[in-house]
Amino acid sequence: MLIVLGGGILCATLVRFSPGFGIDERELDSRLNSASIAAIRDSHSSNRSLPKFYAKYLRDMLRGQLGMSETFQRPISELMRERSKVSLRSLVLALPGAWVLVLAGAILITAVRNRGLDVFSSLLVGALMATPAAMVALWAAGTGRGTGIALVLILVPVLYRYTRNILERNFRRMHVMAARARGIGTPSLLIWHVLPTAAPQLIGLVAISISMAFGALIPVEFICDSPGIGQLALQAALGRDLPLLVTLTMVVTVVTFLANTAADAVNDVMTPVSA
Amino acid sequence: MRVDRKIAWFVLLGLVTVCMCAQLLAPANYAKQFREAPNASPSKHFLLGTDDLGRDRFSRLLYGGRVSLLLAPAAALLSTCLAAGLGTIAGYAGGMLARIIMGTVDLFLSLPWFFLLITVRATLPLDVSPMTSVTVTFALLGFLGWAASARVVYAGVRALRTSDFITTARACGCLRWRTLAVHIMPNLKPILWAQFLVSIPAFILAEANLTMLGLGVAEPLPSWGSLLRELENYDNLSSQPWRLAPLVLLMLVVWGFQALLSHDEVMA
Repeated sequence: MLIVLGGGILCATLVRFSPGFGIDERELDSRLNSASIAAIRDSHSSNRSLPKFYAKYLRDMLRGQLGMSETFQRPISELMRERSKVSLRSLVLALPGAWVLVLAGAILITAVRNRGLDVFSSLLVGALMATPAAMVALWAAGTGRGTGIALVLILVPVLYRYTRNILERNFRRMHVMAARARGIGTPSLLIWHVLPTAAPQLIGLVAISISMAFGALIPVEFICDSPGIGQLALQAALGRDLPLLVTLTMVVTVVTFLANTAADAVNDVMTPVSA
Repeated sequence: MRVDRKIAWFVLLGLVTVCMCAQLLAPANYAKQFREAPNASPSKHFLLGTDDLGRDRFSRLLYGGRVSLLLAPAAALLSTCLAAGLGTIAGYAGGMLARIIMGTVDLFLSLPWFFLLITVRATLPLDVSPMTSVTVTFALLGFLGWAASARVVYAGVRALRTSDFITTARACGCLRWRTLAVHIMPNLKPILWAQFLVSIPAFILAEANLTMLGLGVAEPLPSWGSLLRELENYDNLSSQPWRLAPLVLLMLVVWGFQALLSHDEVMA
């Protein structure tokens, strides 16, 4: 809870003290008289005092009101509902897709132990990891592939590397070596000895992958012109839209926190209590 | 030393040397516009052709490489120093100070790094001189990229603090600061070196991403990110493959830094 509130206040502070904060383009309109300009300035005055803004923001949030976006001139709750649907659609395709590819690849490479296959996978993953996410998004946009495919290509190399290392480390454990020495086949070894011990780390990685996917959404949705949360975040940042940015920061922090807490809870359930 | 590490050292040293000698090797200044030859194909005069403003791509590639290869390690050094300082203080001091520092680390880690980066970068002035923009971009990378490394350093210091040789040193009357400087810090070198090496490619990629979104290095100063923006015109790529040169070079450098890490460091 403290981290979520801290994230919100960190973001609010950064935006409040950024150059150009509170400047309204309408002030440059020569047709407006001084009274109108003063009225426009007054409309931003509630955001000028950071403690007042944050207290009011939290009070409204508890009542279920997230305020108005200054960039879009629309209620934030409406924007979030609309945009999160688009992002969720991409994530629902990308995250399970990436994990299926990662697990299949990592299990295959670790179990088969073929040098050629290992080198090939390392080269492929290395090449994908060395490609900027924005470049992958550009390719997806240019070739008409969806945001989901771009996200999969961004997530797979990083997740694969961690997953492979986790599986490899577990394959080298003493009890696995002992089981192998007793003639237990690779599939049984994997199912009964490697995967159960690797599960807590893999579940932790699943939680991290959600946060990673949120980060990857920003360049992907912006470049692919997909109206989701990632694009909204960049537009809010460029427009110095304080209420929208604080809401987005809190949403992202809450999602990360919930994912990590869920991973911890699953691990607690799976780990047998020692006597 | 493994063969891939040798190759990585060779490639990186070669690229760094070439890029640092950009002023000597580049046929033209990065900003010079050959207005009579916009979008020229590779030739004797323009090794990688020219862009739509008639600027020599090869020269811009070398100068861009110099920016990325000089400033990404500088930012990595900054973030590693921050991580070393804060991680060591938290790990060694313990108590309330450790809780505050690690709470800050958690706060930074709870937000996706790229989200934090664009939020902070966008709140800083965008219409600044190219030199200011490049400094701001890489300084931000350094200042925001320390959290994950600090956690690793913290864990390393905690493990060392409870080790036998530190207990013996303390029992022999070794002062706290001396224990830290003489016994703990030297043992953190491998961790810090690994964090430094991990940070460099991450920062090079982050700069490229930021610049491609219009939040990084400002024109006309080239960086690999700004050179990659040229690839936005995706249609002509198959007929003009030389435009992929910045991407190939960037991938080579990132691979090089990744290959420098030993297997154990990757596993950690």
